[in-house]
Amino acid sequence: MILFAAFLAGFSALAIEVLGVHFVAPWFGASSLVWSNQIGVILFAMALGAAIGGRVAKKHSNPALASGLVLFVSGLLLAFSAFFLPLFADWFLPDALRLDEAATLFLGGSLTSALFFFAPPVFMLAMVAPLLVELRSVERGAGRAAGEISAMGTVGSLLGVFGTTFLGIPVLGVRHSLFGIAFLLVLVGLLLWRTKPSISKFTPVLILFLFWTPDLSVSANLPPGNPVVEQVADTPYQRLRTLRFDDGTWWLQMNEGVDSFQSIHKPDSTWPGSYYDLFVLAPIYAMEGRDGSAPFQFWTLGHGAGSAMEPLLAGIGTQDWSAVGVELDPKVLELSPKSKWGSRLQLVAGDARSLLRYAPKNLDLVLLDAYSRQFEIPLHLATQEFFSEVYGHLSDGGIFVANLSSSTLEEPNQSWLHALLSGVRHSFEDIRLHRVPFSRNVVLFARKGRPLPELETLVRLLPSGVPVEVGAACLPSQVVEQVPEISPLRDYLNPLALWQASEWLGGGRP
Amino acid sequence: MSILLPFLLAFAMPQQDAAAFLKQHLALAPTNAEAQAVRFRSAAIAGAYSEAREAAHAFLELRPGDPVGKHFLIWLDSRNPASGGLAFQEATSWLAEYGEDAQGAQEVIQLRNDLQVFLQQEELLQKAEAKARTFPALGLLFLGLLAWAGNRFVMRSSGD
Repeated sequence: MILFAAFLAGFSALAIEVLGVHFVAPWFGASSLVWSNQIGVILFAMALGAAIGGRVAKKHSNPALASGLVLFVSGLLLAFSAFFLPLFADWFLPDALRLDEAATLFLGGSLTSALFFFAPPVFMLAMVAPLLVELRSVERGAGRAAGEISAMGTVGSLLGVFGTTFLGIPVLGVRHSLFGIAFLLVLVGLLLWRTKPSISKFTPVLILFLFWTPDLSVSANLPPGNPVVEQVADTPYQRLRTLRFDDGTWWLQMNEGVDSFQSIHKPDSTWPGSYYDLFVLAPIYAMEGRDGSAPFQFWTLGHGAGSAMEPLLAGIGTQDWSAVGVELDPKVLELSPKSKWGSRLQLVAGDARSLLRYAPKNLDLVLLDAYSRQFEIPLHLATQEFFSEVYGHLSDGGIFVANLSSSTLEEPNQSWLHALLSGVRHSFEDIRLHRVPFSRNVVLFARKGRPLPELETLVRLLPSGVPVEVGAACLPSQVVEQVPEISPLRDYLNPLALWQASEWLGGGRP
Repeated sequence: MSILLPFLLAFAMPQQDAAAFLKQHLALAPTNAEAQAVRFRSAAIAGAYSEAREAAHAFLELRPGDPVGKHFLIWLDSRNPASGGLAFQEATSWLAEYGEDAQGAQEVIQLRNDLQVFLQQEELLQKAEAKARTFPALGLLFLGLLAWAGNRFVMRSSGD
């Protein structure tokens, strides 16, 4: 029982650390900064708990009883945290914020959540190990007891990390995993705590009651327009939510949601809106001067629910085509509307860069729309080496197109966007950025081997029926072709995370 | 007050597609103030704010001091979240000076509504930012208190 208690304390502490980030994600996101807050606070709570636990172990007459009491209280605190944190987060964040406004609150919000709701149970759990060492050292001696307790705690921590990610979140979901751990802690605590008051026996029933209460995160940070929440899913990567608006528009959102979407579909329309519509330009650029006989081949990296497909196909027109869509999270593909393109579109779940190695070397188009944790471009998809790999998979005249944030485009100083674009420019012969109307995004087009067609020729090349906003994005003043050349991001030297974090911490607009 | 104001901003976007828009827009004469005003209007409605800003400056070069040109710039700034506060302050003083007599009454009402929504949102955001600054410190204090109380509570169970 002593070793199991050590195992359980280690398991629970690390599970709380991982689950905590997923739990606050619907309100505060799960960016690198949120992870740092959570890890930092949990480590601090563990240090504090170990120190206080050591003091108690030295003075307490019955360490077994004390460890039972501590486990019991930690379970109770965890259950209360899982119940009250959503109420706190709803109160903390005002309604109807835009993502760029809300982002300035995520750092304080996630730090406060970690301190008030996750640090207390972990602090209690960290008190357990010194108490158990004290208890076991009577028979085994201090060194052996410490070694055994430490080993069991570490094995528990190991399983806490893997079990949570691969079993707890996909099977039980984040919230129910937290209540499950709380339930287990209370039960084991009661077993060890021999002189417990009789009222404490009702605690497991209370936790079971809380387990079945409604999940407030379902409707957290909803965008304006009173959408209906259709589906919610926790995955090892993120929290996903699908919404349906009155006009039939369908959104897939990840983590904190707010006014941003991961994918969008509009019923009976080719044009999802926003930056997706500008993807129509990519095949138009690629087909200028291309031999028209072979089928048009393209890959979309960060396929999501396939919002880019219709605008791309509008640009391809009547040409035969085949495509591969790569999406990191398999659950995204599962929640997406069923593909209507049959075997011409192959969907694959996995990492974009790893899978690109298997792409043919004569693609006409590679599209990148991959963001991890809402507005962080994955580091390995922003380097000169990655862009060089993309270049190697394109045919002559082929196009690389990417959706990017424009927040630092006009910065007089060096910015992460300048560094990223310098990496693209290192391989590609010509690049062009189109500002997206009504948006904080730009769409990058880079062409292999040939210059991009002149903007004036788009009057002739654009098919009929393309939304007027795409025309607006093609006006010379909306296009950027010259950006400062600075040191590109490299696989071995990539400060992108630091740049994006400082932009966020400085109240910048991600 | 220029007759252009209601014409520029009260009208809805005519039905056309990207190619037609581009063709028509690129054909506007750069030396004609009315053409620059039309250029501003179509770019602003289509969300091409860099283009609209160029048009507004071109309009003001051709008609120095025309309040409509100034209004164009204020309207654009109010659409930029980064300069929204300042732009709305300017918009308020602009409305005080010209708004009551403006022929584009609809636009004036819209600007006033936008201003109100912006100010309400700013107030909410400032309150939330104050929470985000102060609550982590309270959380740390709470954890310290918990450590002290945890120690006392567990020791009391010892019965010593």
